[in-house]
Amino acid sequence: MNSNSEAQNIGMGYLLKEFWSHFSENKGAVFGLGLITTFIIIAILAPLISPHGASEVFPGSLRLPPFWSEGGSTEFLLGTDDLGRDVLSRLIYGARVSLFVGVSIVIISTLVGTTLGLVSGYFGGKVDSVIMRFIDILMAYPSILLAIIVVSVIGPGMTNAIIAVAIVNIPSFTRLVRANVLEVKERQFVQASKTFGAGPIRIMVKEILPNCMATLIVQTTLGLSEGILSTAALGFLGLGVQPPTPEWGIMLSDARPYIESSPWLVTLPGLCILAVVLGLNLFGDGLRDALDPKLKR
Amino acid sequence: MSVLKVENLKTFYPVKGGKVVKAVNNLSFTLEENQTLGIVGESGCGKSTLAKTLMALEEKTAGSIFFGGKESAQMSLKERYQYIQMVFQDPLDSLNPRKKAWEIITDPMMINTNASKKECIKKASELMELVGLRTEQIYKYPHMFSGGQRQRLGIARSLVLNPKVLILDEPVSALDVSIQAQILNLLKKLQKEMKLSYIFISHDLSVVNYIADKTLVMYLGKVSEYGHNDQIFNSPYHPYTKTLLKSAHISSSNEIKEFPKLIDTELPSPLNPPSGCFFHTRCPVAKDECSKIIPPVEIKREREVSCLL
Repeated sequence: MNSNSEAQNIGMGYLLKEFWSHFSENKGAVFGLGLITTFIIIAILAPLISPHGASEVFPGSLRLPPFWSEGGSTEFLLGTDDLGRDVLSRLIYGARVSLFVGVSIVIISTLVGTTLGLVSGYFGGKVDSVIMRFIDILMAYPSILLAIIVVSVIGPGMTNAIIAVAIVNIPSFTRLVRANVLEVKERQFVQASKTFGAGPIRIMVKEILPNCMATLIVQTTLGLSEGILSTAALGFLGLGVQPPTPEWGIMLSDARPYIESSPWLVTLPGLCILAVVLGLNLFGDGLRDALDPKLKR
Repeated sequence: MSVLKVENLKTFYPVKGGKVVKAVNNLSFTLEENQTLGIVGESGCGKSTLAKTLMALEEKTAGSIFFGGKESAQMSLKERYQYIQMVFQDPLDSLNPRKKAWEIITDPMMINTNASKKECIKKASELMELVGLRTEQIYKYPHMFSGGQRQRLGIARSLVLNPKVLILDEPVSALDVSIQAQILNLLKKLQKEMKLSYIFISHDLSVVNYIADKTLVMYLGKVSEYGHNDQIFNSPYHPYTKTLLKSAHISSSNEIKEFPKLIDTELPSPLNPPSGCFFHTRCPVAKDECSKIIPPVEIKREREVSCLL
């Protein structure tokens, strides 16, 4: 009886509790987590909480300032843009787009990058050389330039922007995982698993990969922020998500001509990008500290 | 019948520049059931390569290995792993830090049999009891155990497939002296209960003297002296054995205490082994012919010795 309850305590709940006690020591990380959670909730509840439709046009109220400035109205809390669309609603729907795009990018680049890194690090030799030279080629271009090249080959649009930024993000995952694999595969427990007959795939997935998880999760959160930033940049250049989709990057670029007369039009989407990226980076740093088993007391 | 027989085993590594490291060079020995063979030598003499070759982690270059009368070539790796298992030196490094105790112990079972999770957990708690761990610890991770407990986990894992032979590669050298004794006694107890045969690799002569029945002294991949423990430890023949015993301070015999020291304390490079007897560059009693003639392995005073003297 007694032994059973003790065993239960060391299950998932115990681990989560232990993780949280380490994680919550870092106030910045908790703040970051709060920021991201807020944006996720906003993105999910977008249709419920946004006061107007994202593409709804109010021809009578062009470039209205936010409600606290002179001439603003409480009907459009954060003002309207040059076509008379409600900025707050567009920002709320923009959170959806940005998070969707960011998560898609991270999923693709994590899957591809991790697989390449595992194979490259584990097998070494010629396989390693071929994969790493391919990665070197990707890394030889500045990331935004590479994304622009990819988009100009396959054409602009949301899907293509996702593919382009995902490709740009692959090298960081591959290099990180490969370096981790090179270190882990020399450890005795990998040798040990060979002595009871584990095959290469089992060793890669069950022995090595779990030991790369901590760095991988951190890289995933950082990759997410990078992905959101790059997509916004592509959107700004008109190569990413296409209007009228409410995307923060497009909102920035559309507002560029009015930067002096209607500064809130550039400030607000910029602040949103800043907040999400900052939140993800703080959260990622906190995760790194909390997930490292060596730092646990 | 012997449970393990090794004949003229060679494991060579090719290195850059067309050279070859002869890590295990013409080694022969037999291991009888329920006995322990100690393998002694300095770091770099090929002890671990021998263990890896037996476990098929390294491919042998020549020679034959018989597991209970069956040649290794006629056995599948799966059969081999159910016959021979290994306990590693570093108890923390040899356990996956991301797995729970029961997963670590029953890993070989999950790979080689179709056992369900329930059966695995049951087997794990049986084995944990056998090696002296509390069964409620099966959901813990390796970093929650102490050094000695971790090595017990490693031993439990090596027993899960019911092997006949265990290779113990320096199983206690990473542990405190007080814990070493506990682990050695556990190994002796398990040997008795489960009719196990051990190959005990160590550089610690006193530990080998305690646990082994026979001892093989290795030098640069070759056998220096191989025989029963009382012969090796009480009346050593080979000058290398004598210098090892002298440096370990475990012999009370005056002959050992007064035996001259090694000439050159560095182990020669295995890439460029000396001519003749490999040991002649460091041997305090070497003669001229030692640098010219490779000494054959002969039976002298009831043990195998490779020395011209």
